[in-house]
Amino acid sequence: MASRDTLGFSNPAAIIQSMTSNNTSYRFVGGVTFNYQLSNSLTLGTTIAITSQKNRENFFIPERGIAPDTLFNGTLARNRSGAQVIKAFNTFNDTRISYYKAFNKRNQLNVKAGVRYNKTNGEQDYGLGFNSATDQLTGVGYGLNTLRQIGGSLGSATWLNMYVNADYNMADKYFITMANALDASSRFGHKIEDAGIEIGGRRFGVFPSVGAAWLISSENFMAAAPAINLAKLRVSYGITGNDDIGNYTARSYYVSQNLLGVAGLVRGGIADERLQWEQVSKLNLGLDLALFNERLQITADVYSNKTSNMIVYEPGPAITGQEYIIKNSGAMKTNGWETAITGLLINQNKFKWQLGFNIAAYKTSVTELPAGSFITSYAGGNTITSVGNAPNVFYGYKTNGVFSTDAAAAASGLRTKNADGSSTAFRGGDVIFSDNGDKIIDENDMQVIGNPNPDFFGGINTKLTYGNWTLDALATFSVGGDAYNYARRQLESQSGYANQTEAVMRRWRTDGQQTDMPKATWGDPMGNSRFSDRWIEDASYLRLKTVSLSYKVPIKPTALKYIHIYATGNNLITFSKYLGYDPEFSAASGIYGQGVDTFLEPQYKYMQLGVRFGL
Amino acid sequence: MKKLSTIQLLTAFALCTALLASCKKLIDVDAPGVLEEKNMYRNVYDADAAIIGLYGRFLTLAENYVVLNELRADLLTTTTNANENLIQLNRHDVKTGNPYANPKPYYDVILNCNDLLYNFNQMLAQKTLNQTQYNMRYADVASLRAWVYLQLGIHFGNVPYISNHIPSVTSLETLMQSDAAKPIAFSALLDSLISLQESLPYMDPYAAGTDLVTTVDGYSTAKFFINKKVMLGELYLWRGKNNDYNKAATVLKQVMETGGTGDFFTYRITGASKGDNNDLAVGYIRYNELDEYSLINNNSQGWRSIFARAEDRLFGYEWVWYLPYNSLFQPMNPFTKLFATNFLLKPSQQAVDNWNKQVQKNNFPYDARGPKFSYTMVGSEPQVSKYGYNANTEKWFLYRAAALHLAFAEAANRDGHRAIANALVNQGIQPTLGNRITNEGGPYLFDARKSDNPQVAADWYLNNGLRGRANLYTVPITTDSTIAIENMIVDEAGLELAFEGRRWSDLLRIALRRNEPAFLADKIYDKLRKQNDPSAATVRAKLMNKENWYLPFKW
Repeated sequence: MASRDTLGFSNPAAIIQSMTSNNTSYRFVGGVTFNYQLSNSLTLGTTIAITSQKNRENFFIPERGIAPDTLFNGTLARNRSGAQVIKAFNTFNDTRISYYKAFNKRNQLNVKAGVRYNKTNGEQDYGLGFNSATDQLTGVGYGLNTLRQIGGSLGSATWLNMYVNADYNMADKYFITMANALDASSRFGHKIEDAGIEIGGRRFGVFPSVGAAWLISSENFMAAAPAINLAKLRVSYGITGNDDIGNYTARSYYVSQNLLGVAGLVRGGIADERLQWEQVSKLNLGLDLALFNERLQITADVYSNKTSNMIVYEPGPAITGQEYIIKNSGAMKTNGWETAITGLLINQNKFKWQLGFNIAAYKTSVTELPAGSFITSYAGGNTITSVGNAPNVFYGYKTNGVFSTDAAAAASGLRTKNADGSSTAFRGGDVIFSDNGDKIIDENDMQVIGNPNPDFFGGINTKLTYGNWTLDALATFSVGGDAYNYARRQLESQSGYANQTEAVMRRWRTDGQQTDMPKATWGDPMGNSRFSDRWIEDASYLRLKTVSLSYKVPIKPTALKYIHIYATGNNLITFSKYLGYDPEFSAASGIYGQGVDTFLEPQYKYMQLGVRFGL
Repeated sequence: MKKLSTIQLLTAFALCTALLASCKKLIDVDAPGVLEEKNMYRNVYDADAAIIGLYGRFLTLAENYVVLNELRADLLTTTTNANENLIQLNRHDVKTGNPYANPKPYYDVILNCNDLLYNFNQMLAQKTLNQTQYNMRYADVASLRAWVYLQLGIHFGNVPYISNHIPSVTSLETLMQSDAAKPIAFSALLDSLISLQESLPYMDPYAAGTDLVTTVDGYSTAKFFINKKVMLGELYLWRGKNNDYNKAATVLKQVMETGGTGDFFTYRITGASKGDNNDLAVGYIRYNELDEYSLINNNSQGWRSIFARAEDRLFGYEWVWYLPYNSLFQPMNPFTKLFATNFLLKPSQQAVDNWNKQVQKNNFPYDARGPKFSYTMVGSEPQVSKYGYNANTEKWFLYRAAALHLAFAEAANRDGHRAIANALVNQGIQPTLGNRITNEGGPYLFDARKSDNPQVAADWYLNNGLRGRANLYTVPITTDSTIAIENMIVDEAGLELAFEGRRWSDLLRIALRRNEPAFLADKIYDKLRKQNDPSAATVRAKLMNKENWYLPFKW
């Protein structure tokens, strides 16, 4: 096998053949529920559940065929190994008492009160080894002692929730739901002021909610409209909170700081002991309709969510020396709607056709950010969070094509700012960046260039049944969301030896050439490949997600109840202008990585053929 | 009966619920990944761990310290590789957002200092530290904080003086509302720092036997900690009011006599050991003094070995305070990147010229401390070499005997003892002032006698002066005035301590003392002019205004 090439690039075949990467995970979920009927109307119950999870990962990147990495102290890492164990143990208990009472047969009251308790312990340990003697020694322990890195973290959190829910159903026409919950968490600060209530020295968040539904179709006057089988109007308002604020963020603590090999302790920042839950108030209005013998069903919802006490990383004042101080000071609102229509278009004995369509849209905008907007960098791109915009919208340079001639570039007078503060004039073949008027292209010219949130999204599903044959299909779509194609940026930057896409064939080469692809320059001193709308693409798509054809073999149900033969195709066709592998790439788990395609694995196309026996 | 049991069960259930809710222990968890406040500062070992952590954090200031103090002054300049931030510093045109003008790393160290000082007081009150343990540690941390504040004052002028600990965001908000968060004048800052430094209960290095004085990873920690007396002496020099110079000379003299009677070497600046060259001087192989190639130029002998030698006896004669870098541990040595691998900064033509103006005693037309030791020519460009001689002894140069003698000379000169100042900087007490006791009272008593009959070997008889040690002729003083000698001291500091992070503070201190902006402005002007920087005249005009001596405190 060939080693890495003379330009220092790894041999992809070496990575495929000799790199090892294993991930084993074990998960145990166990639960037991006891219910005790105290009387006809009272039930006492408890649920105890434990979850234990363990992930073991290890990898080895050999020396042969792969370019070495440089370690923090400048040593070349010829081969690299790593091992990691992540453990999580979770115990959960829900103890509740419920009360059910029917009054004069038409009114029903259902009350449930209880306590939920959750405790999580997590542990992560890792080791990284470098430069083992040969590529055959792949364990972390074989790496050089002096270079080995070990680390880990421990996490622990508890959550206690007391709740009471009451449902009242009046004459099967009016439904009222009221609920209240009190939440405490080990993550909340010890000195929360003016929020929630204090019980036993701990602040509890109070989260009430109320909902009402009116089954209009059960009213007498609706008898005049027989086409309407069901009409239900729903409205609800509630407040929820989360403790997703970091295990120890609200506490003052010390962290390790080394001096040579001796571990010392320093302050772990300045904690806000008033740190509390992020709170979301949700207002929802909904309508359920079923028409024409339930052959047409419609559900529609509009909602408005207001987030307050949102966790914000505020820049610390200079005198604290802290880059950030974490506070509950942001606010955000989300308004949206969703609707789904399902129609049974043909309903004969042998032939049935059902068609469904659902669509949803939402708009999020940040409403409060006391410390001002902030920019986050991810994969060489920037996102900005600012009042009046959705959080984390793409923030970079706008472009208007490529200068076709030196003269045109000179006429524009635009210059780019260099690292040493001086500036260089653009020339033919350079990208035309939008300028704020000072003729210098620098960070002041950055603007919002895209929003990863779609304008609307949804799906279409259909089911066709003919005798023993059934055809199912599901298509999904998303319109108006932008994606940052980091992968394409790497493949079209034309700044180094790395392989490029065919698109660079049309790059600018001669004065006067009209093209949209800038010239190739070593190291890209003019920043033609900087984070700009060149790399922001419309990630709208329509995708045939699944198609499934199945045949029910006609047999007499005996011990063998049924035999189904089926063929399923997944991700068969995608219509999209997106140039990357897949517009529906699985986004990173954090919010900062949303809509950023960092060579993410596409969802693959696959077919399944199968037989299902029912016993 | 069944009804009753229901009620009983209900009551039991309600009780359980109430119990759950009220039991704080159920909600609170220990924080296993971090050390919670309540578990910290329980005994002297926690206090020591906090001091180790503090010095570990302090080490992150090294790059800023050298860059700000050298690049803003006249001996160091930018290369073509330098980025905008460094160029701004070089041209005294620092814009908001320049990371070198970020005061946060300094205040991060101060935040930790204040936390330690507050908790040491608590520990003393709770008797988890005894008075002796408390005194040493409190004085150490307070002195380090004074050092950091002095740097802030030097570079930012008016800065907020925060001396209370900030345990939480609540107390931070109170603090931000109070006057304490407002900047105070540099002079007021000096007053505060001096009055605290004068009141410290302990002024010596950690006593042997303290757990902090030990050996870690092959380094003795004895010189990792700030010298409290030097700190006080420097503060006096900065303020220079009333008899501050006398006070400065007094405390600095105590440090100069660290070894006590009978120690002829520790911090006494002795000359060359001509026979074996096991010294810290600029020397040549004996009887080959006129051969340029016989210069003692290695990591274990001569002047170069100050920076490159292992920790041995001679190392201890020179170094007062340093912190090491080791490639096995974070942080990495930032100077390698600045001066060598990325080659962002280089000696200025001005610095090169200064050394080349000197004449050695073997009549070579240069000062070997410059072209031979402080920098080397790589191609056509000079490259700072002080930091890179020995990968095993890389360090942050914080304070050494040469700086101590220069500081003492500066104080003595201003205190009216010009002859002693002159002797220490030039050829030493005995060669200049004779085989006698310089009985000028107080700190100016140097016993430099040496005789065989009666047998006398006094403590200062081997002192050879800084220029004597550097094998240089005495600087001719044409006018025996305080100003002339002070100029000579500053010039000598530039030759001896170049690139060690002391230059800007030396220039600024003198310019402030004399209220003479031109003293500072001309030096920077000369640097820029000699490298044909078009902004030289603008920068000079700018620096003629004292306001522009400081970086913007905006972050």
